[in-house]
This record gives sequence, structure tokens and C-alpha cells, in this order.
Amino acid sequence: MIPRTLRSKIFAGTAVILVIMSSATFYTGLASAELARSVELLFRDNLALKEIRLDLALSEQALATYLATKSSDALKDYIARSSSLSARARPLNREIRPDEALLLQRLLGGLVERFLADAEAAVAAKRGRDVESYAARFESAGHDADLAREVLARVEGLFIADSLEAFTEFNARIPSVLLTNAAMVLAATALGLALLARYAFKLTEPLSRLAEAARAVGEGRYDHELPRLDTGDEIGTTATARDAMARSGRDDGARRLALDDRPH
Amino acid sequence: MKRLARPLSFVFAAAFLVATLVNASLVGSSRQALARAVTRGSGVGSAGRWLVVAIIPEAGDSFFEGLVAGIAQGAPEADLAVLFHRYPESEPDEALRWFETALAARVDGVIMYSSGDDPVAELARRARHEGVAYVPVGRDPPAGTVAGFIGSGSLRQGREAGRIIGEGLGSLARVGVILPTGGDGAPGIEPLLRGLREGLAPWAGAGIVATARSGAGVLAGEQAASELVRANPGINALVCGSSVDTVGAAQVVVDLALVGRVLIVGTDETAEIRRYVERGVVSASIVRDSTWIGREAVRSFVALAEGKEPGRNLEAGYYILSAAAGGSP
Repeated sequence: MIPRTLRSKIFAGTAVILVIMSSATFYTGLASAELARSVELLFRDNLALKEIRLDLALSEQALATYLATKSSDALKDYIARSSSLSARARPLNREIRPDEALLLQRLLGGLVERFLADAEAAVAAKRGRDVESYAARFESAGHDADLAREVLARVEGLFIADSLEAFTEFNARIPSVLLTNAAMVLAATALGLALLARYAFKLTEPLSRLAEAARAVGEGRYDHELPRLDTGDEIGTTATARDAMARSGRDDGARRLALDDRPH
Repeated sequence: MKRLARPLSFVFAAAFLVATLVNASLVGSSRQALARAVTRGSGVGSAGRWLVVAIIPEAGDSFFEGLVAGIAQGAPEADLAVLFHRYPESEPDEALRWFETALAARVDGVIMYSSGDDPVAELARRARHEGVAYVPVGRDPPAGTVAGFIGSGSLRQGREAGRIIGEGLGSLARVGVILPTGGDGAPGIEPLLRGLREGLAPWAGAGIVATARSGAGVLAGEQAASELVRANPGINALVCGSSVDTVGAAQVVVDLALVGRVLIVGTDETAEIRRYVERGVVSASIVRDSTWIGREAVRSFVALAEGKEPGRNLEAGYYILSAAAGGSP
């Protein structure tokens, strides 16, 4: 819809400029959020391993507490910790693929399973009051946990190395991203200014002509020609009125001259 | 200004659009770079049938590098994925820990470098108990070893070194020996020494005057050679048991201006050894085919995994690298 009033024209022009500026700002914010999410991705695997390491330690601790006290609270704690460990270890890779990190994950998964199996057996033996068996299984579980921690350390090191390598590649692109961001904001600002100038001229030029024409009428120059101003807004209306005024002025003048020329 | 405003609007609009598109593309490719490197999935290589852990020392020795290369070469055609664990040669306990890890994680097989000190028979028993195929590889079968050991045969290597020295120096040969680190038993039962004695036997009067055991590290060979030569000025031949020791001995002979007066028979082939052979500092190097050992270890694993009994012990071939021969397998 084409704006018909001066106010709506000013509003539409300003709105276009604001939309351009805000879209540049919105996009820049969006891109920054994307980059931040990417960096988070870098450490996703390490964070998952950290959780496994923590659950392993807590499960081991809860198991030791239960075996030492046989309290139901300790058993509940052990069940909660070991379930969490089992759940966290589930996403680890189990496929045999020619990739060190994937194979280490498989190894880690196997060790966690073995730890859980030994720990479960220790708990069962404790319930059955089989002292010799639960002590042996507890020792075995501790050994499994130590081996798992060693594999964890190696996978973590590998992931950190991978993350660093990826970050180096990512980091190399950052200056270009910032540069294009700056170029984008500058281009948006320049575009806004150019549009502003265009609107300013478009709005004020008829006004200037009208002002000049009004001055001419004020000075009694009714023959001053005003170019057609089909702006369709208040300026156009004012121009039409001014034309009528000038015409009326001219007619009055002519009538006055005719009266003056009549013989007395 | 009025006339400029319109074209400038188009120019800046185009610039804004282009900058936005380039920026979006850069952000996208940055994210992809991260995702590619960080997120591993089932797209990596083709799925294998077996998982084998190969526990091999990391010593900068071409023998071990050849071993690793051989295993890596044999793995794809045998449909197995290999997880290498390299450990410092000075820390054999780490190797045993990784053996434990492999067993506990129930991998399909373990290919493990074993020196004379390793309880190979016990390791084999434990692996069998866990249902894991165990393939010991190394230089010589350790004491009390089981069948299926794949090695380089230091006895033959020693005989060859003795023959080369005997042919060069005859009964005047006074030999110093640098035994490789890790050791395959006491010097008296060391296969390299036994072979060397046998090789020198035809030349009456020729013999071994001193032995030294090389330690871990790149300068260990240099240190051992230096001590041997200074403590035994009569030495006119050096036999080295590894590529690191060969390079170290060659440097000592050059530094002490003994080129031409002390004959060196080295082991294996590296770019440095080739240079020393070309310059006449090293008379000859006995190059063991450790790549073959690696490939054979993979074949042996497959046989074990398919339920076959361990085969007889195997020894890799070798060739002599010398200025005259250049390298004759």
C-alpha cells in the first residue's frame, strides 16, 4: 500500500531504515550465538567423559561404603550411581572401526561394563554373606576402575588434541568472520544513510518549491508558475490550494483593473 | 547528493547482502570444521570384524616402526581394527598394564612386543583364559615362551655379524658388543652373542672382548659405544643390536677419529645408517624385516581367532646393507 500522507511517508521511510539496521544487528547476534554454540561443541565429548569419570569414582565410593556398612542408604546410593554410570557409558562407541578414539571408547565401554559386573557381584556376595567372594570382587572392581581411568585419560587427551586442532582451524576463520561482520554493519549503516538522504530530498523538495511559490504570492507575484506537485499528500493539497489562491489573486487583480478603467 | 542517494542505496544494499552471505558462509564452514573434527561417528572407515590391541614400544627404533607398519598393513585385509599402544621402552610395566586393560575390555586379540624378561607363558595362559588371542612378537623368544612367537632371530643376526667381522679382520678381530635395551636375558645366554661367537669361530684368536647393555633414549647407544671404546682401547669392531645404537656408535667412531680403525656392524636401516654406510663409517648393517613380523602377527592372530592352535615359532628374514651390496635381501 502506498502511503498517502506526509506522516505515513515519514513513518514508512524511517521503518525501512530501522528494519535494515535491526536485521543487521539481529543477524550479528545470531552469528555470535552460532559461534558460541560451536565452541561448546568442542568440549562436548570431554564433558561426557568427565561425567563418566565422576560417576565411576562415585560408584566405587558408594560400593565401598555399602560393603563396609551394609546400610540400605549406601545400597540406594550405589544403585543410583551405578545406574547413572551405566547410562552415561551407553552412548560410547561399540563398533570396531579403524579410529583410535572410537576403539578406545569401545575399550572404555568394556571396562565400565566389567566394573559394573564385578561391583554387582560384590553386592550380591555381600548380601549372601560370602565374605571371600565379595572381597575378591571388590578388589577386581577397583582394578577395573583403575584401568578404565587410564583409558579415560588417553581418550580425554585424544579429544583435547582433536578439539585443539579443530579450534585452530575454527580460530583461523574468526578474523574473516569479524571482518565481514564489520563490513555488514558498515554497509547497513551506509545504506540507511543513503535511504535517509533520499527520503529527505523526496519529502523536502516539494516543500521548498511550495515555500518559494507562497513567498511569490505574498509579494503579489500571482503569475509565478508552480510546477505540478502530484505527491498525493498534504504538500500536493497545499500546492493545489496555493494554485487556487494565485488564480483568485490574479482574477481579483484583473477585476480591480477593470473597475479602475471604467469611466467615472 | 540528491542524484547520488539512489545509486548509493543500491550499492550499499548490494554490499550489505554480499557481506551477510559471506559471513553466513564463514560461520557455517567454521561450525562444520568443528563438527568434522570433534564428532566421530559410524562414518569413520569400514566396520571391522575384530579388535586387536598392539602393544609396542616407542623408542625411535626402526625395528618397532617396521613392526607397527607391518601390523597396520596386514590389518585391513584381515578385517581387523588395531588400537596401538606405544609405551616408553624404559617402562615395561605400562605394557603389562595395557595387556590387563585389553583383557579386561575383552578385545579379540593382543599383539605384544615381548623381551626376555616378560612372563610370556603366563600372559598367554591368562589371555587364553579370557578368550583373547595373544600373539607375542619381538627379537627372540623369551625364556619359557609358548609356541607362536614371531621374532627376528638374533642368533642368525649374530652369526652374520661374526662372519662379516671375521672376513674383514680375520683372527685380529677384537669385538665390542652393544646389546639392545630391554635385554633378552643375561649376556651369556643372549642369542646375539651366541651367534656372534659362532660366526667368529672359524677365525682363531678373534673374539668378543666386551659387552655393554644400551639403555633407553636416543643417546644411549652413543653413551654405551663411548664407554666401550674408551674402556677397551683394543676394540677394532663394534656390533650394535639396534638402529639407535648403530647411529650412536657411528657418531662416537667419527668423533674419536676411529673411522677405518673400528669396524661397525649395525642393525636395521634408517636414512642416517644409509648415510654412514655410504661414507664407510658403518661397514654393514643387518636389516631385519620387522614389517614382515607385523604382517605375520596379524595372520597368526586370525588363525588363533578362528580357533586354530598357535603355530611354530617364526623368524623374519634379513638382508645386508653395505657400501658394496647396497642392500641385498
